[in-house]
Amino acid sequence: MNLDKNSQTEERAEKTLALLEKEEREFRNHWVWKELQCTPEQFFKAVDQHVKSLNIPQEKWNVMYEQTKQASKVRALERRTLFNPMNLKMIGALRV
Amino acid sequence: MDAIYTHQARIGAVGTLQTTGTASETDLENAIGVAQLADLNAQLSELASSMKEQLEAKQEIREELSNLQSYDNRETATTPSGDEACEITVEEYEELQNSGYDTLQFVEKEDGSGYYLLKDGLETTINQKQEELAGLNSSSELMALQVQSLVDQRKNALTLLSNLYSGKNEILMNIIRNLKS
Repeated sequence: MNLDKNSQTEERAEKTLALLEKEEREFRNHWVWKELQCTPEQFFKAVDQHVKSLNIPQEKWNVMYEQTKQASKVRALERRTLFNPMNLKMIGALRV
Repeated sequence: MDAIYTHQARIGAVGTLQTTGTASETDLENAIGVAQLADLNAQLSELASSMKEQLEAKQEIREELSNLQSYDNRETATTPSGDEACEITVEEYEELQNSGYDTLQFVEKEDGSGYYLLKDGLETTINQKQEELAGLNSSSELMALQVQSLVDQRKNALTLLSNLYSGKNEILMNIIRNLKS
């Protein structure tokens, strides 16, 4: 039924939001911020200042940034695909 | 403005970056990796807000649908002109009028005791709302995939930062000095 499908989608959206909240907590409580003795936002500001001090032309920075961003997306996808239990089951790596 | 680094930096498999200065290619890549953390964080924040808004919008539509369907489930009546309808009270009529449904059609009862809500218009309105909900659901599925990708990317960027810190990377040490000054 259409309504059931809608409820399932909403349930998934709620789970995604719950995951986001959990990830956010873990991100903010990561040991590196305690070591750096700052909040993520303070760190980002310092990074921004440092990057500006490197005096790299904006266009070149944008190209490098975009390339690294794409590589990062692919790495994240590969990691998720490689370690997906369904894929491991399909190749017989896991006993059902 | 001219770049200030002298090293030939090979970026991926595409082109080279002519620079003059003391930072190596690795330093620049690390700086980018760390800078991306801010970008990923901002994107996730925005996505979370959009998802919450969308969820609220869907919940509102579901309530509207439930209300409209309750009218559709009423016993069918026939208007004087022979149209299929259901009977509603004056209060229900006013409520439906205020809800702003353009496609609902009403016929006032001759004795003024209420109204007929025509089935055709009601079914059209229900279909429209269901399509609206389906559209939001598709968008929501896409957002969930984006969230997963961004979360993974942010984890990787945070791991890079942690490794740079553990390795006392010079670029990071400079950033920390800026932080403390």
